[in-house]
Amino acid sequence: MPNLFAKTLHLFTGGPISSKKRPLKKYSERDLLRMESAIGRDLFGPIPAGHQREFFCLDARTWIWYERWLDPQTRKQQEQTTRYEVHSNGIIKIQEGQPYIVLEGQELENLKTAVQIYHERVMRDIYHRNHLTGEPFPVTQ
Amino acid sequence: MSETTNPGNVIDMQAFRANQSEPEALPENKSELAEVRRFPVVADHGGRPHVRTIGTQKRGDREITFNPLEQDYTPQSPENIAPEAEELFKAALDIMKARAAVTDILTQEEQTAVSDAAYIELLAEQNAPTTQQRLSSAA
Repeated sequence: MPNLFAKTLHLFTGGPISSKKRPLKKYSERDLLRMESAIGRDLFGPIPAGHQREFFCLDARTWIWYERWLDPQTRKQQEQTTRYEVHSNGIIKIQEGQPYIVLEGQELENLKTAVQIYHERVMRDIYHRNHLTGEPFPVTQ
Repeated sequence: MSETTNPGNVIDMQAFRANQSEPEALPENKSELAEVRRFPVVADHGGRPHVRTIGTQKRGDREITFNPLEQDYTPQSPENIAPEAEELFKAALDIMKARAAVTDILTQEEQTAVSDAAYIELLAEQNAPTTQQRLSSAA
């Protein structure tokens, strides 16, 4: 899925996504994904020193975990993108060069918990909506 | 522990579907398919993606139902979707709708259409025969 990775990369590197001008819009999709990822990156525990982590919902069927770090042995940047795809029969974990894995056991539980917290916090802190109803919080004076 | 982290809190998909405004309600059986608004569906034809619609088409004097999966389109009960898939899917849909509302990328009607199309795609995937089933039917 080269398009998916290209889109993901563009979202974080600032590459051109759309030339469509949005003068009246406060945030772009990229802005929102960055804000969401700022919440998502902390959900899986402490990030090791020298690591950059992103975790965010790309679309209705895809969750992305991106990790980049400096290899102390080779002094080269390493990166890994893990894609969790939602299929009707379960969650498929996809990593480059690895066989597809149907997520189960503790890893599945961890992902579910992370998504629940992500959903709750992103809806509340970024979109100011109730994560159970999707409705905006009433404006308080 | 929040309500969403309660393992006993099963998402009510009937309510979820009921929230979809008419006439986007999903068909309960094939006979109702013609009544469904036409949703774009990406079908792969020999590596060439085609955007087509679910619905009926006239072929001569016959009216046939387009079937993106080349089999009867009979959505199964949502209860057959893996709970974890349902959970992640619903969370993602909520977030996408909230995003769209902020960025004003889509109108409300378009948001609903995107949600419905994605949900139909998920349901349709359930009906896709497995490789084993394809081999068995071909034999």
